[in-house]
Amino acid sequence: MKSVSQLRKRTALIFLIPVTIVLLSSALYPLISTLYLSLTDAELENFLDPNYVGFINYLENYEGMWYGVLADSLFWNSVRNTIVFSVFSVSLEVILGISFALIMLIENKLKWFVRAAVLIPWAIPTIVSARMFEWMLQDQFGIFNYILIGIGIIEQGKAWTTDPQTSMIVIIIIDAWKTSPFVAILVYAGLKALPNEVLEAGKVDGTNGITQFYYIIFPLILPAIAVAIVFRGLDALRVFDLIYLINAGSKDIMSMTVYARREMFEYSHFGFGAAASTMLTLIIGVIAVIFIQRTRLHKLDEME
Amino acid sequence: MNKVYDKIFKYSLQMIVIIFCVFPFYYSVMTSLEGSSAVFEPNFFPTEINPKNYNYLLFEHNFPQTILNSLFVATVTVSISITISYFAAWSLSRVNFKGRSMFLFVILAISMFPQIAVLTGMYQLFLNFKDFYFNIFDLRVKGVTSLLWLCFTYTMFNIPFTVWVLTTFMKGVPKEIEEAAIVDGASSFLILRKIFLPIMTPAIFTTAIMAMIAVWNEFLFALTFTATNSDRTITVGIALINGTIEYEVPWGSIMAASVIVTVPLVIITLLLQGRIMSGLTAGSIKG
Amino acid sequence: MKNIVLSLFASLAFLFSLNATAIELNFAQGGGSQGQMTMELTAEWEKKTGHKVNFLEMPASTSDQYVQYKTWLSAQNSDVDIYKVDNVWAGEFGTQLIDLKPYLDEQLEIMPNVLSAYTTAKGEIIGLPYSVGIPMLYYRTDLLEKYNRDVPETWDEMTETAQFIQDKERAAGNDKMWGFVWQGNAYEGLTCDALEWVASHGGGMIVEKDGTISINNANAAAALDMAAKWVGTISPEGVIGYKEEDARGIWDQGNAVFMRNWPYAWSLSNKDESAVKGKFDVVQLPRGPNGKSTSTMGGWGYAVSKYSEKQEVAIDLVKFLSNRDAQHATIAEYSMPPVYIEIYDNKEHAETYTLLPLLKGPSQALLPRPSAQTSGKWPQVTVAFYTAAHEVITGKKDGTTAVAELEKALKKIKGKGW
Repeated sequence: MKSVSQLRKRTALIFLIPVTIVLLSSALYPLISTLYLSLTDAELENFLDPNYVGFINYLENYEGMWYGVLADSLFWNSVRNTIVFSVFSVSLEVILGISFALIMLIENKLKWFVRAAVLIPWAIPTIVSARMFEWMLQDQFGIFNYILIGIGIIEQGKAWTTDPQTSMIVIIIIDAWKTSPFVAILVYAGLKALPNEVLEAGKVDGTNGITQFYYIIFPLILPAIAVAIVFRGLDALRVFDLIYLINAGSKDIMSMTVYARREMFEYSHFGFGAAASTMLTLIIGVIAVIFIQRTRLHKLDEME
Repeated sequence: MNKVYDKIFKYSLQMIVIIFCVFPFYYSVMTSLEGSSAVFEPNFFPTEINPKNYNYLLFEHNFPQTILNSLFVATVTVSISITISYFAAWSLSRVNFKGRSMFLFVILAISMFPQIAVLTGMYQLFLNFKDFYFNIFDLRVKGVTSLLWLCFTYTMFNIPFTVWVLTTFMKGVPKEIEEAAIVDGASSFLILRKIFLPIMTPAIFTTAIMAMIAVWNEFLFALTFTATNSDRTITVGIALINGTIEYEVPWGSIMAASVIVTVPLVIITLLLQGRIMSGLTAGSIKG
Repeated sequence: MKNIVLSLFASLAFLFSLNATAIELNFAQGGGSQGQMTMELTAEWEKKTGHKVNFLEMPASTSDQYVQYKTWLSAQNSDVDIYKVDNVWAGEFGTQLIDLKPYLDEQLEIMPNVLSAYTTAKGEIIGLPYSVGIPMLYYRTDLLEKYNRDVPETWDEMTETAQFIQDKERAAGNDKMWGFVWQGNAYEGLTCDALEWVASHGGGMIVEKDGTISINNANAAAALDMAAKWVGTISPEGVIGYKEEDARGIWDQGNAVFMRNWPYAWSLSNKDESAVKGKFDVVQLPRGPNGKSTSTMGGWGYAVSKYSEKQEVAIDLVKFLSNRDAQHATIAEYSMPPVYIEIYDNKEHAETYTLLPLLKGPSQALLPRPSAQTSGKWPQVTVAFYTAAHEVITGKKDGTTAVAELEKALKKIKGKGW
């Protein structure tokens, strides 16, 4: 048996070669070049031949004033926004996603409609759905204000996406609408992979059903949920399209990526922007490690 | 009596999900059927049915080409990343070797880099790729350079996800099933094909759907790496829809475009979902 | 003269060696009717010279175009020869584009205020405008007549009239009526609107031609405070989220007395489906107590990349596209405000393009944004400026505090120099 297990190990390593090649050939250079760029004074003119300047893009004391990404209050503001956005949107998505997945399990005439419907939000490109919501939330001719005025909740149309008090909430809700299906589909696949008896056991009606679900099914689909959270979380921490399209200029919802993009591509501070990108990757990395440790997700790759 | 309530309860849950998910889409379908000033009037049902936005996109704009391009990129990317991830997932879930969790974490780290951070580096790499590629191939196939490069970058960005999901699902497969085959002396390759493939079919299709939608919706790279009308993908195609006059936002056409790109995707996924169901009944995971 | 020699040379070369010398240019530009116009004119040029031009269609969004250009230019991409450029990109892309000044002839007669936007701090002309964007005050002739009011010349008059008509109309049951709609979202459009308020109050142009930061003054503060008072009174609360099309949407529904917008709205609002068709007119924007009417300049031009390997031919095309003949040839069909002053007086064009004579006044009030003097730092300046203006109109700060803080922020951006 020993030789078999060694053979398996060798095969396993061979099977990992293609993935490794793709990642090394395409990811390595851009990552290193961003890292290097963050240590230079690169701007539009000298982009291909910048000067090495050390860590001043990160932090520098010049004539008694602090400069650099770490000294920029707008950067920390965007970090805070991003974390608030990620925590709330991912929580909402997980709750909605699991509910959707359970509802998708219901076997009746509507089941195909439900399955098709759940796909729609996620299938629409963000570039369109952001526009769609911008349109529906418009204060004068948007349908949401029209409905709200109609049922008497508000008197005047509200500019939901630009009002500093509501813009973050609106962004979170739009993101939840768009990506709950992602969680739903993963969890649904997880549920479908369970033995039928388990599902039957969970199908007891009434309040008892919820307890049954919590104790019997939930632990079994936890791996699928955890993977969904990790990838949704990483996506949320890197959120760009949605915020950029809805309100690129607003400080109240500016995310780390929107900040980095602005420095790089609007201000042409390629060095500084690269430093911001590196910082935000570090922040995401730290959050990911903490999350994976805390949820013992790394146990997933331990053999039983 | 209880049964009736239960039925009504279930139907209403389903209706809530359907309305929640579909209403914004319905509203954009409606907008896409209206003329340019009618869209400024909020209402629940279209005031007119005017196919001009669809005519424009399908027959006057090069939108159909962008759909074909996206289909090409999505198919290539998804097939490659699923295939290589499938093998990698077996290694990472069924075989115990040193550095396994490290490997998984390094792969995940790729997902921590925001696209915007690697954009300039990717672009330089793209220019090198183009030179290299142009030296090998003649003019006739140059047109697909950008699309091939997109496949390449998307594969890279998809791999962390596909590897992780497939690894998670493969870990759920009971050990006994594989052990029997090992005793019979089957090779790993054979085990992956004959034993895991039927069991994993639903998971593979689910992952494929998700990877495909991610590719379908990507904008930033597609915008940067494609420059000519013949190699734009759909998201860029939508961004290219101009008002006839500067500042005018052609809501109707944009909404029509969103309908045109969403409907095929929903159909494809529904067909694939059929596979998920049949895959499961055929699979022998029970026990 | 040089033009003739060049084209003569080009056509001779064409005759002698047909395809061998035909040069292929790549031209990055947007779509829509502007793109159509450029393609039509270019076809003429192709016929004349025997060269060939491939068009690379850019996204509709200006900021998407901007990022794509930047990616290309930073990588010194030689694939793109000609770029369609916004009038505020001169400072930003100046070092990446060719100085066209030595090659120009009649193009030097383009309206000086327009040409100045494409001129860098060093005096290089890096782009040739083919059309100019002129913001104007749209007003409802029927409503002004109904309530016997004059067309306002100052902001105060406009505010007063707007409030009066809005109140009366609402009392008459039209509860969706607003006095004035404009662009208040935190984006480049607000920079345009707010620059008009400030300059027409005599508050300067944020950063003056010589590079001094002038925004911290009482007139500028008063201008911003004035706009803040509109929000929720004569303008909807939601105006702080409006862009051009939001304003036009309300206008087209017949729900506004005044609107600040670009010429594009003229033809759209005169369509059959618009509720205000034939019921409105345009005039130059009002002025404040200490200033004169000001319109922030918009518009586009063509520029040649420094990394192009076919510069000579590209320059020839760019000149061809921005000469008088090109403007005369396209004005009837495309209705784009021209860049040569005398064309505004052309009676023949006025028959097909009825807005043209009305544009002459506002065209003289055009003020370019201070993008040339702030060179590569304009994007930061404009973000700082519209952020400050947005803070005032959303009531977070008053005008005086905002301009004082803005001055500090601008000084930090300026650093050792623009």
